[in-house]
Amino acid sequence: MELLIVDDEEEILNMLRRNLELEGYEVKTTTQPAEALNMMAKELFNLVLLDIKMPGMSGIELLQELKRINPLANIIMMTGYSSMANVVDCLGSGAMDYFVKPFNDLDLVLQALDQARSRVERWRAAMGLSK
Amino acid sequence: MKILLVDDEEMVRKPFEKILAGSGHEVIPAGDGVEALEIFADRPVDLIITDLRMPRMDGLELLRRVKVLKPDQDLIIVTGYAEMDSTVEALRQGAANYLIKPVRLEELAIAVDRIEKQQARDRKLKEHETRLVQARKMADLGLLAGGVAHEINNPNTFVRGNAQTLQRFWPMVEQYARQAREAGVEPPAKLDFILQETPKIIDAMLEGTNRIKKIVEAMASFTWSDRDLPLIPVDINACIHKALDVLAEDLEAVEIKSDLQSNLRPVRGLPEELVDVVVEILTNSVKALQGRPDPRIEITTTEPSPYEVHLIVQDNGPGIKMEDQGRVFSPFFSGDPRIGQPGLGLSKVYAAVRRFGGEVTFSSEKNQGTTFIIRLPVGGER
Repeated sequence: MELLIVDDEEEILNMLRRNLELEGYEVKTTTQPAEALNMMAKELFNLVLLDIKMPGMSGIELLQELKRINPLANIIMMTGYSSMANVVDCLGSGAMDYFVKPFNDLDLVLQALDQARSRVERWRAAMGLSK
Repeated sequence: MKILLVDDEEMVRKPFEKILAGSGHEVIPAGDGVEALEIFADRPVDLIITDLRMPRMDGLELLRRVKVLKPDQDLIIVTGYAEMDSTVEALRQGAANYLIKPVRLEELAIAVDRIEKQQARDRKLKEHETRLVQARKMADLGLLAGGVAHEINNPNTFVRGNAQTLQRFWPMVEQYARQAREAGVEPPAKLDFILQETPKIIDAMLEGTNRIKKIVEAMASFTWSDRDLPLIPVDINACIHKALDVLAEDLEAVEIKSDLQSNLRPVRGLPEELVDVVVEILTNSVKALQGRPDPRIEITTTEPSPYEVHLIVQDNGPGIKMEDQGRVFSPFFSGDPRIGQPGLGLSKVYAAVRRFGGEVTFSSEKNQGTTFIIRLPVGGER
C-alpha cells in the first residue's frame, strides 16, 4: 500500500523508509509541505505520516489541507517535545494518532500503521475497489 | 539594626546606648577607632556611629578604613562646632550624616531612623532589580534551551530510529550466519565475537539516545512559551503527599515536618507537573542535607489571600553559597559538581511555576539552611 511521509529531516525519512519498505509499503517522501499537497492531489494517499512542525506551514494547516483533498486519509502525526497543545488541535482536526519523536518503540509506530492499513483495506473491499 | 557605637567617653556612649537599645537596636560599643575596626572586620553591622576625636585612631581614619572594606557602609559622624573642617571631609569621604555635640537624643533617633528606612528601600530596590535581571536571563535561557532541544531532537530521532532499525534487522543476519555455519560454510575469523557483540553495540547506542532524550525533554520543559495546555484546578496538598510517596526512599534519613493548611483553595496548574515541582524542590533539599547532622525539611502550605497559595519548603542544610545564588535556577547549573546530574531540576521548577502564573524565590543563609517559597495563583473554589 502507498504511504506518504512528510518530515523536514531527510535522515528521518530515510530511516522510516527502510523500515516501512521492509514491511511492504510503497513509500513516497517529501520535505516540502507544498509538494506534499501536490502529491496528495495526484495520488490520494490513504496513509500519511506527518511531522507537526514544517517550515513554511504549520503541521495543523498541512493536516487540514491534506484532509480537505482526501477526507479518507489516515494521518498519523509525529511531534517533537513542547507541542502538546498542537497535538490536541491535530487530533481534533482528524489526525488518527500521534507519536513523540524520538520514538520510544519503533514497533508501536509500525503497529499503528498496520492498523491503519487494515482499515483502508477494509474500506476498499467495502467499496468494491480492487486496489 | 546592628549598630557599632564608637566613643572614647563612656559618659557620652551610655545614654546613646540606652536610647538605641530602647528602640530595639542591637548596640555594640567600642572605645576607639582601633577597637571599632577590629569588631567591624569580624562581623558586619548596619550602621556605625562614631565620635570624630578619639585616641589611637580618630573617626576620620576609621571612616576611611571602613569604606575600603565596605564602600556602602553607613556611618554617622558625631562632631563639635570646632571640627567643621573634619566634618566636611568626613561627608566627602562618604559619611551618611553628622550630629553636632551636644547631641539631642531625639536628633539621634531621627538620624538612625532615616538610615534604617533608606536601607529598607535600598534592599527592596535591589531585590526587585535582581528579580528583573533573573527573569530576563531565564527568558533568554529558555529560548536557547528550547532551540537547542529542537535541534538535537531531530538527529537524536534518526540515530535512535536507525539503532532500532538495526535491532529489527539484525536477528535475520544472525540467523543466516548460524545456518550458513551449520551448512558447512567456513565462518570468517571472530564471527562468534561479532555475533555476540553486535546486540550490545545496539543496546549501547539506544542507551545513549535515551540519555540524550531525557536531557532534551528537560530542556524543552524549560521553555514554557509554547506549552500551553489548558491549566486545571489542582490540590497542592495532594501533590505534596504524592511527591513524598515518590521520594519515600530518599527521605528515610530526613525528618519531615509538614504543616499543610487544610481546605486550601486549588491552584491553577497541571497535576503531574506540580508533583514534579515538589519532587524537584525536595530532591534539591535532600541533596543539600547529605552528610548534615539532624537533617530536617519543613513543608508548609498557606493561603495568605483568596488569590494566592504559598508552598514553603525549608531545610536546615548548609545554605546556598553567595556566589551561586544568582544561578540557582539556571539550566545545567549544579551547586555541587560531585553530584553527576545535569542540574535541570530547579530550572524545571522555575519554568513550571512561571507557566502556572506563579513565582518561585528563595532565601538562604550560611549554615542556617535554605527556604524556597512558591507562590501560585488560585485556580478555583475549594
